[in-house]
Amino acid sequence: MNLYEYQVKQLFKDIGIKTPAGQLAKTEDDAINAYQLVGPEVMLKSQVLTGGRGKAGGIKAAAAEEEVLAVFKQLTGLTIKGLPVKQVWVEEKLQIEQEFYVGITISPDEQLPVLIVSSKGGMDVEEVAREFPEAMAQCVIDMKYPLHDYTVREVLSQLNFRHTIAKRFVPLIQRLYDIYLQYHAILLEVNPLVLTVDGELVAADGRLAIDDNALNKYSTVKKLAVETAQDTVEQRMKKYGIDYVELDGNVGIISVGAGETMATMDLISRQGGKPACFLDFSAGVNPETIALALKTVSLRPEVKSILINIFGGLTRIDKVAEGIVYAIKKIGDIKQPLTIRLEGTNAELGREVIQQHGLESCLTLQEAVYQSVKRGEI
Amino acid sequence: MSILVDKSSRVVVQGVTGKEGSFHTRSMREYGTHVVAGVSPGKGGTSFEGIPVFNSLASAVANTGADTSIIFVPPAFAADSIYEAIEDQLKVTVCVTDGIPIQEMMLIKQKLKESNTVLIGSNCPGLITPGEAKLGIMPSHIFKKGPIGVASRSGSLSYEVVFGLTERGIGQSTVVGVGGDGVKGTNFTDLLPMFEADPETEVIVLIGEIGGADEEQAAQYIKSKITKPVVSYIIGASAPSGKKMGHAGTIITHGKGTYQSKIHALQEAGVHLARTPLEVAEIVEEISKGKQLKSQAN
Repeated sequence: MNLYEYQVKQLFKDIGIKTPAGQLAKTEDDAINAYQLVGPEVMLKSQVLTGGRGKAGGIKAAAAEEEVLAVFKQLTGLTIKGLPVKQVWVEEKLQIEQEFYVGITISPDEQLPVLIVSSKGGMDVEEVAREFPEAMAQCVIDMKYPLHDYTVREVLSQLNFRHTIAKRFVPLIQRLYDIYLQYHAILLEVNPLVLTVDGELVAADGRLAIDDNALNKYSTVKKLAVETAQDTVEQRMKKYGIDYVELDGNVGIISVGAGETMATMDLISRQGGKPACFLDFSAGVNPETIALALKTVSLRPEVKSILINIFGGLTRIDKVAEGIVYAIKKIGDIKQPLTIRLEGTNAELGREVIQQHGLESCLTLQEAVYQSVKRGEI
Repeated sequence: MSILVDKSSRVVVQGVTGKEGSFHTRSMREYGTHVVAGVSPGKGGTSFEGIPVFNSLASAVANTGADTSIIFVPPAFAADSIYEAIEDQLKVTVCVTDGIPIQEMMLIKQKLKESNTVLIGSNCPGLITPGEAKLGIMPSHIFKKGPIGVASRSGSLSYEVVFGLTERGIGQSTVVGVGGDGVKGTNFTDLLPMFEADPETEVIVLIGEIGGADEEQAAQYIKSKITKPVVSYIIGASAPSGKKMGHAGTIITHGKGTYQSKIHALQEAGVHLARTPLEVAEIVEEISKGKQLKSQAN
């Protein structure tokens, strides 16, 4: 789960990390109030749960009331990566001396938290890593112990930080690590972390991705989850144990098991089609979940063809087939051509059920992929 | 021979009386797995279908000589069960549970380094040595005894691949589902030396996916230490970066763990790459026939 920038900044403030003075604006009045409070120069930042807001025109400066109003209207009319902008964070504009990047994430190599610091903030970390590797330093954190001062100093020394700056970085990074642990983060970033002309270190942005697995276990995180809850199709499906990710293709995929589903996506792409979704209902295949899956996919106008590919391990294929027949009857009119491939436990029985109801099924995955892509082209 | 488990493994089921635990304990027993005990706090002294149940893993081990465990415990308590298995020095423990927070797994991983316990999972289907023992939730009937060692980050896809092998009459030595989480007890690099040392295993199959560094690390290891042929199938070529595709481990972050980097590393290591699940079986078949090998560049 990702948090909004304004939520992350609140967490920073609570723990003593300086952030620019600001306020959340949902209405034009809010925006004016915020401006009067933190002006005369402000930044207006769209609050949506995605990266790349700046590039999408979702972050703008303003220096007068009329300008604030105009920018607010402009931003709230935006949709960034499919997400409509409903709220805007208005904050004081900082006088910047230098921008840094600080992030804590998980090292896939060491399987431990890793601290990354860069003396080039404000840009894409991947870009920095590629173009200015010397501007980046990192270290793996031993979770059994506190994050020691000397560990942080060692990282900073690699970047030739002036001692006076380094001294301020140490407690700031330790506080970030506290947040990282307390909120079960997968990723915590401050980008940019600004050194102002007055010599202050200020977190000008904040990104926090919380481990979904921690949501039900830890009360601190649970509280934030309620505040951040979004009513998206993805989240609604999750309640039924269905992993669903919308993609921008034309072939809807319904499968069981994350690996099988992803493999099906790959095969569709290789065949020249484009997956319209990742839909895995491994948490429980029953007639109702099949109906929900089929209905969700078929209602999307971009979907021109649907592929149901199920390899039953523990799942009995005859039961799946009965579920498919039930789902089709329940939904009534499915406009897209349906391609079905059933294999595994009781597969022959299942294919018989499908046939008895006037449907057809493919014998191999290859054939099913070929058919579903071809049908999507028409 | 096989790796990790066989007929002689004395298995204890942690969470034996739960819904999942009881269902799969029956299935594992039917397969021939030697289940000697169960653990269910509060139910010590009772029995589950003739299997003695204990309040703690320690008493189960002391009373039955169990050396291997499988964990069917809800996510909120599963990490605790793993610690218990490490504390009681089991040789192998398999954690099927999905949903253990990653920071808990990172701590467990540090604990594992100081012990001799091998943890498979969490969030995994388990492992099976066909004809000898099954520790997990895999559909038994698709497996067949034979010379192929399989390690996979995806349960469903390992079934698909194994099914393809078995249909061609090619059996497996041991099939291990390492699990779909970003941080897990056992990675490919832990299994490769075991398969290399196992006289029964002739070909190793690795089923990987985007995210993480497992495949790149495996490639490094294969290059320097593995003499047996390795076939690999990597999924996620079409997955967008930054999004999680079912498995917690599939997310591509900071440009690392991409499809291309994995394919490149494996190619460099001389691994035979398959482009579809079926192609895995086809390549393995050619290798076993001793024909000219068909390495597929993606």
